[in-house]
Amino acid sequence: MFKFGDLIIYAAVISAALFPFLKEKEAENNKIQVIYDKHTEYFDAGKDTVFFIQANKVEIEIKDRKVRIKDSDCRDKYCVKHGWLKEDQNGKIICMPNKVIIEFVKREDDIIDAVTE
Amino acid sequence: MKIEYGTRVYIIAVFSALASLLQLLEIFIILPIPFVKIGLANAIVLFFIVRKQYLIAFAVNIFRVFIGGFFSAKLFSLPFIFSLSGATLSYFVMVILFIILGRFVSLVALSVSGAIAFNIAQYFLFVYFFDRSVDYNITVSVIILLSVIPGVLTGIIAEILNRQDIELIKKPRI
Repeated sequence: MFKFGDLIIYAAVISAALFPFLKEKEAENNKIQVIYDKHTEYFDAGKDTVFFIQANKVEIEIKDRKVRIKDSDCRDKYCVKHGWLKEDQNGKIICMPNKVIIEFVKREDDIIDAVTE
Repeated sequence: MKIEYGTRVYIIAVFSALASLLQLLEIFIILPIPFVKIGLANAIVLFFIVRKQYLIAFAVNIFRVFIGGFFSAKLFSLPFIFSLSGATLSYFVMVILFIILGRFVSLVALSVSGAIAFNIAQYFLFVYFFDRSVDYNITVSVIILLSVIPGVLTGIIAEILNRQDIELIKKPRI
């Protein structure tokens, strides 16, 4: 019923079963889409940056796969009060006076409408 | 018991019939876990692999899928293709493991690896046909864990079968 060589097979089976749990969570293919006026730009969620959109006077900060509007010159500053937008949230940060929309989108090359073969 | 045979066809025919009968009777055995069935026919395949009759084992494995598919009215449908590919992959996995590890491996471990190969092949075909976006994920480990139980059961049955005093004797050609 049991022989020495079984240990190899059982070890392989257990490691294959545990592999998904041990695997580090890969960076998901999400990008940050920033729409201002009529332009659309994409930013990598993994890179921590702070940048300033000159025409709309909005400062956007990306950190730890989260994004927020750090500063804005609008009156009510709803966009700044919104705080951090996380990757798994389905939401947008919108600054109406400055015409800026920020949201997480899937990378464009992953979006496939249909495949025929 | 001694089984004498002149050509391999005789053995293949008899044991394919036995294996497909077992596969069909398996429908009436219900395990408490859903989607799990014992691959009793695999015990016969293992029985031949241990006796190093790889060709007979392969033929029995393929024919029982065809005959079982015919009698359960699934011939050439999608489940049938899944079953066929699973049977082929599990055969090759078991044979290669047996050739590499030889007498250091027990039938239970071989049967477990075969059951896992069978289910994994089906899962990857399912992913190929229906949902391309799925990655190697937790579903695979669930499948592996669920196929260990029937694998162990089949392995024990194969071990019992292997301990019977059955000898295959090829008659010399005259």
